[in-house]
Amino acid sequence: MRPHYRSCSDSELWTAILAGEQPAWRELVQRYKSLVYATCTYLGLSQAEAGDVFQQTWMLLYQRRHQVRNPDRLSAWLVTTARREALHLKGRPGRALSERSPVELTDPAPDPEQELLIIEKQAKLEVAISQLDKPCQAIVQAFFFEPEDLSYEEIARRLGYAPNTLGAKRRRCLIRLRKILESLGYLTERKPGREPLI
Amino acid sequence: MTDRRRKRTDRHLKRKELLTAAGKDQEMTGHLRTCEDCREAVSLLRAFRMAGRLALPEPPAGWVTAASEIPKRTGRTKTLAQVKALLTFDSWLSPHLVGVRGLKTTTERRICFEAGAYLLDLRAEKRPEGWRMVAQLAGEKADQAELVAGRRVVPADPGALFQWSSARPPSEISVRVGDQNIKVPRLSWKRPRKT
Repeated sequence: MRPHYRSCSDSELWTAILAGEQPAWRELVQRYKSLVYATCTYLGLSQAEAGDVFQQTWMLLYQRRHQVRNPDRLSAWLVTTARREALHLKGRPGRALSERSPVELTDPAPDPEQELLIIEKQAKLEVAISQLDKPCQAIVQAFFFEPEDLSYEEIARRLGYAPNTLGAKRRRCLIRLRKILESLGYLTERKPGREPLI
Repeated sequence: MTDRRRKRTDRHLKRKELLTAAGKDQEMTGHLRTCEDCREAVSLLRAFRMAGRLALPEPPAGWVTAASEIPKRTGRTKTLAQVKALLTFDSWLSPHLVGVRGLKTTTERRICFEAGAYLLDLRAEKRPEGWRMVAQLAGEKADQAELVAGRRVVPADPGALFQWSSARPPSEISVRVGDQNIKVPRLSWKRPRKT
């Protein structure tokens, strides 16, 4: 049994799951719990409905684990399945999410398919960020995820660093982040819809 | 010296400028040509344009625990003994008192079953968005049971409650508990005619 599932790529994690290693399954749930939940909430499900879809999505993945051909695309599979289950729950199994009424077409909100892709990518990024050490997490958070665009001086003051050292620190953290993203297989670009998910 | 250094840090691009640079899929120019720090940031932002977004929401801890334990619950490979449940109560079949009318008789239903040492109490409520179902199992290891309604598998919570929603109410329900698979008689959801 491997002790460090956190640093495993999805493929490695999947191999361990198929070998019956339950901690690997737990890590996978931890890794993508927010992705499945965010998909449910984005689709406008109530809390009770989201709970159903959340459990059902994981249950289906486990039941169909031997049919998974491309474990690198587990995150995409989870989004697609959660969306399908949400539509099924709403009694509209045949309706594609991108089908919008004429009124909705004037809505400037992003295309749902596109938004779900962004949620999937964000989940991967959050997984990688969670594997950084705490100071790096704070730097990445302050630079990229604070609601306001803070200046170097403000960020340095908040984090307790000298302003002139912050640029180099940020770079080191981003390099570390890139390495984690690479090791998790998240920096490999794919053409959407070209490869079978399962 | 300090002033000169401060000036250099001031030249680092702010998030808005980094995002603008990341949006242009061109060669890095100007400040980016000479600053490795900002180049690294732009390069990552090109792959993940998430800056400024709120963190994804965390699901309730109980949901995560239930999902994490799926292999434990479904790992039982032995063949389960098939047990038929007997209907002991159905609110749609029981007569109403004279003069009692109301929507509750058609939008809510309570059905109870008995199977050996187990009791299953199922309540269904029709809501505008669909049916809300709550079932409770009483008996040994009831909190480790799994209810299968159609193709949906619902794990029991610590109180041995199963809760789920669906557009249509289920016609087939079974409960896996211990080494038994309790099969509930096929359910009809046609409302009984008034006599």
